[in-house]
Amino acid sequence: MTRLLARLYWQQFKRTVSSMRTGQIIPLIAIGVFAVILVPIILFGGSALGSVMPAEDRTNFYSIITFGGMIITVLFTIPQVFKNLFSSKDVEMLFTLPIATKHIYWVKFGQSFFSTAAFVWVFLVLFFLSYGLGASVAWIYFFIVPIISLTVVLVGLSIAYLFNLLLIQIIPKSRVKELMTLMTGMAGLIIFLLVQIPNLMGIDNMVEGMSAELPALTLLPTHWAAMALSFFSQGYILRGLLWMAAMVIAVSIITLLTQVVVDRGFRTGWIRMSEGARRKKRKKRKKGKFHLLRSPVISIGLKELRAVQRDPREWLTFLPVLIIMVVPLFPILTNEGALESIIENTMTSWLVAHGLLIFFLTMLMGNFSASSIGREEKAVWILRTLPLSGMQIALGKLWVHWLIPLIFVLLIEIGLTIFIGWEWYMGIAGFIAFGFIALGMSGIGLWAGTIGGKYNPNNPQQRIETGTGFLLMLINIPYMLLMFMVAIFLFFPVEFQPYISQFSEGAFGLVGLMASLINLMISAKILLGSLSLGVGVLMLVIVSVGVTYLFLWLSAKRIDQGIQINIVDGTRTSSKGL
Amino acid sequence: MTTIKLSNLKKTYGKAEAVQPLNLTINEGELFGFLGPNGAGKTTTIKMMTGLLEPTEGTVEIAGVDMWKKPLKAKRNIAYLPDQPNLYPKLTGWEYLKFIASVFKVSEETFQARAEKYLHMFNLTDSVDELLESYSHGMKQKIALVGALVHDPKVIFLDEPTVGLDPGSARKLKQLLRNLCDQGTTVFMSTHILEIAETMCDRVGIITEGSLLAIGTMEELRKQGGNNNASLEDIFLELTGGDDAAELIKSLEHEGGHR
Repeated sequence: MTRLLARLYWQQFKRTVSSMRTGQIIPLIAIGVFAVILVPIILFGGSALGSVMPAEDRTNFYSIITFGGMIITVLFTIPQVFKNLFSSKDVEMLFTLPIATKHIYWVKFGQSFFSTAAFVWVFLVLFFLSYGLGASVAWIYFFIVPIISLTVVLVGLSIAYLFNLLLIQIIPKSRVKELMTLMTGMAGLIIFLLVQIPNLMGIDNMVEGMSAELPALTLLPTHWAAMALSFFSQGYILRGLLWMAAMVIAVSIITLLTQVVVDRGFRTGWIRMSEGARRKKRKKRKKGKFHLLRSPVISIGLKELRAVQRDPREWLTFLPVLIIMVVPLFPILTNEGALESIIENTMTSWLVAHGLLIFFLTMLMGNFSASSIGREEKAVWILRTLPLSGMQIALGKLWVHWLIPLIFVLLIEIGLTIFIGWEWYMGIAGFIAFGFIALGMSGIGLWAGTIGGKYNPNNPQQRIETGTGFLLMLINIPYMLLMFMVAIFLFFPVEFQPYISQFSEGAFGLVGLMASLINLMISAKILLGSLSLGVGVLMLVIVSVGVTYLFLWLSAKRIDQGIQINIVDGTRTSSKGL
Repeated sequence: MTTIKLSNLKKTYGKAEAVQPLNLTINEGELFGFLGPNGAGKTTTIKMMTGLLEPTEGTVEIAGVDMWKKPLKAKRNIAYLPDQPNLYPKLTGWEYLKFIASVFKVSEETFQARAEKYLHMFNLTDSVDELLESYSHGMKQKIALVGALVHDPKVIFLDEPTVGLDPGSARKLKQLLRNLCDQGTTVFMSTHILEIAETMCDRVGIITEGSLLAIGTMEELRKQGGNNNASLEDIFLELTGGDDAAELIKSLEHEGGHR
């Protein structure tokens, strides 16, 4: 039966691939290109590490890599496994047929392996092989690496299955889907943080770090895989075989454990999911009290606000920026000298902090407001049949997608002003400047949403087409540069002019052009003297409001004409007009 | 007084004609049933009338206002209930109603009174503070219906309104629609359930393959078919299913009678 199902899945996979449209192939090509770039890096990195690392540090190194491989497998396969077990449309049909749950389960297990875990396995094998070549290890090591890597990945995959089968019993079903999407987004960030751990802990020399004892990792089965690799690399076949056998037993036990919980976890879990969400009461309205009805523009914004507020997946948009901003703080906070220098040079720290804040957050603003169109998904008919103009809809969506990040920035601004000890007017100036710059970004983003809105139930946070995402980036860059120049004019201290002038003379290319433009802005500021503040503020307002109005008008026009939201439903794509 | 006027309304997709030039007038307070087999063009016609789908040719006038020339003015007079009520999942039922009332600028007192009346009628009072994502299909349909009624529209468009409703709610809906029409509201309803059309509707239109085959009261339709005892099912099958289907049904009925 398992073979029959496997054949069915294989046929389905072949037909899905052969019927793919250009738009669906592009992301696959992008992944392929990424893999092609990644392979030489892995091969070169592995080989280089193998050639410099002392033989006594190898066991610990293998232990870290096998542990990392297992964690990556777990993180990447958890959402995939969830989708295969509980969201897949074929499960309902399969459960009505006289097929034992375990047969369905094993085919799903295979599907998860080939769709996600196999990639980790290939990369792990490539890395260990190149490492072995660099370290000139015993020949037997090269034959054993694929098997041991496979056991590592299988442990990870089995843990992902166990996690899902148990999770479905514990987490409220209304939250499970949202949690899974959150985990998909988090996976990349967690891996980034894992890689950053040595930096965060101040371990600059990776090789040096290997000599440290790793007591926690030695307790894990991945360490047994590492022991096997270590013995095989030295040519100790028997001892290597013993550790490998231990690892194989560990894999068998974990997979057996999944087998034990599969009947309860899979079938009942799927039923639980299909029952629909538990009805959750919101705060009860007070009886007899009238509930303020607002203007349509405010009502549209509030509707968006509730969608963002009540879905944890929406918060994911802010997470990367938050982490990118928080991670560099660790080395600064642990370095007393750096911290003192920041507090002493308030103007420089203000400029750098705001430069970074504006750069990261404004890039996010566009995507955030663009997502507001795709968020309408299948409920798009409501706005279309209501007596609302395109401008009302666009304005309603714009204000809230501008305001939410602004509140986020206000909190950061207050925190930094207190922590670094900036003057209060510096904090206010930074906040106002950000507000204006962000306004234009939100307008551009909204327009991008109207030309390439998308909704994918499996990836609800991806709400614009890939091509539109690139277009949004392309339009954002000149706007950012323009605003950067205005900000330079407004805030850059004129005392730095001689250094900039000197630098611009020596620099060439894009850097030279930028330096010349900065020099020009500062020279103009010097020329205008006390008038410069007024001129700067006027420029900021005109550019920001002008760009916002232009894109708001374009968005409204598109909404009035009727826009398309690409609703990706499995392999089919349908459209609904707004 | 004419409330809905369709003049040469047509929709094509490439060479395929989804709706052939359609001329139709529906009067104030009329309950009009729009019948047809699957894929006949019923939903396409309703979508063109509600501003969801732009016609290839022709005009739609709602209370004398052209839907595609002055959409906002025309939409102020209508409410639409689709066959699949996809609503905002993260709003509660009450928030959804409030949103609709805000858009139509209904006064707060009126909104409160109407919302509570219809919520009570459809047994939604206890679930109105729950998120719409937790509603069943039938509950979504009912809250969408309350949303459609909360601003007291002149014309209500309903696409298969009884699908997914429990018998009690379906009956209340039928009574409500009849009452609304008696008070002057115009209802344009597509349905598969011939019994509803036969017992409730003032007039019935039968469409197949994008073409309006017959229109009139039940009496008029019977006269057109030349059989004064014919049911709407007989007329419908004769017009849409062809003689083969009608004969097949008759022979089955005949066999059933012999058993």
